[in-house]
Amino acid sequence: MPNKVYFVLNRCLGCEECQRVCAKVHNPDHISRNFVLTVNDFFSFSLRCAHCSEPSCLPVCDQKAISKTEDGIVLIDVEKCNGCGNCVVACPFGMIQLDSDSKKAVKCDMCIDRLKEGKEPACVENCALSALIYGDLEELESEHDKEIARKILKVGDLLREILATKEG
Amino acid sequence: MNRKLVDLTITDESHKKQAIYTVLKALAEAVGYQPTEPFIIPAEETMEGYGFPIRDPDKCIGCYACYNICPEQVITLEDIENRRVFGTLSHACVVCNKCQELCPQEAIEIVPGFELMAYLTQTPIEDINLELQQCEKCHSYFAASKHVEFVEEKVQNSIQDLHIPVEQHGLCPECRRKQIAQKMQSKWLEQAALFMKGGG
Repeated sequence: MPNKVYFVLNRCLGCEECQRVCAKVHNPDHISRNFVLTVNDFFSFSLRCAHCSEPSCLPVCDQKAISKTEDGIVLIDVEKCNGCGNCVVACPFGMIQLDSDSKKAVKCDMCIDRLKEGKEPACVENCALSALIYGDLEELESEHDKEIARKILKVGDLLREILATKEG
Repeated sequence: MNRKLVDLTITDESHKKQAIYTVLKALAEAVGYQPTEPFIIPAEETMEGYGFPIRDPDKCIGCYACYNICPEQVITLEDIENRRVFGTLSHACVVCNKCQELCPQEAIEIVPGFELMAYLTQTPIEDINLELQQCEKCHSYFAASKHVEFVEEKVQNSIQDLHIPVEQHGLCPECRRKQIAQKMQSKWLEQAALFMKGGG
């Protein structure tokens, strides 16, 4: 399975640092590609593009600006994007936005420039509570001892179900 | 007799265009012409380099492509209540043809000629207005209905066996995100309950 950013359920406190740091590294658009949502004023979740195995946004792009790299990262080519908003409507999770300044679609690119430098995505690196982890899901699960894996990383099943279209 | 003098000194190409507009405006004022409908001067009577986009109301689905690509903000887009209104400030068109080339529906054509009303009134001429899709949860309007239909059909045709665990049809992007968060929260509570029982 490709490396992805995973969210660990009972760690997030909703500080929104991932949102701030995301907007900062993707200078100059200042739009966060992460979304921190709080349900019932208590449960916080940090969400971003799931880099689906079979993305809905890919076939709807008339400009063929959206592609999936070998590493499983779904990328938007800013040069090709015409800002029509098809992908915004297509994304079942609402993770793509139209930037009103550049008039292009923006979404999480898993900090591909940072990955090339051997760094982790900015939101993962800056999450003080390690609520965001980056890596291969199976490896991540085996890294933790069984007890913790059961308590915390059961979220893996959840993510498989929620943040993937097919096998994820 | 009252004479109004118009400065027609031409220094460059863009200036020439401006000078022509000034003359037309002075003429319209002199004869008291107040346009109420588009006044199109056909191509044969216009100099080269003039044109404006026209929209095919049957083909246009109401996406943002033309609006976002136009370098001169000729195409205007405004959501008024439940309708998306497209307008054209035809005099500002520089005939770059980008909207025509990029329109995914081939709904736009740049026709040569000159349209006077938009310039005289300085307001965009309404092209078409399309119905907007209302979010089932927050009741805000988020995209043109035709656009949503078009995208959904395209997704269904290209992805077989689409598995999405949350019901997202008819929701705006913001409510789609909320929907996932809620789904995750209920999963979390389920797991917590299991853990408390000691079954986990």
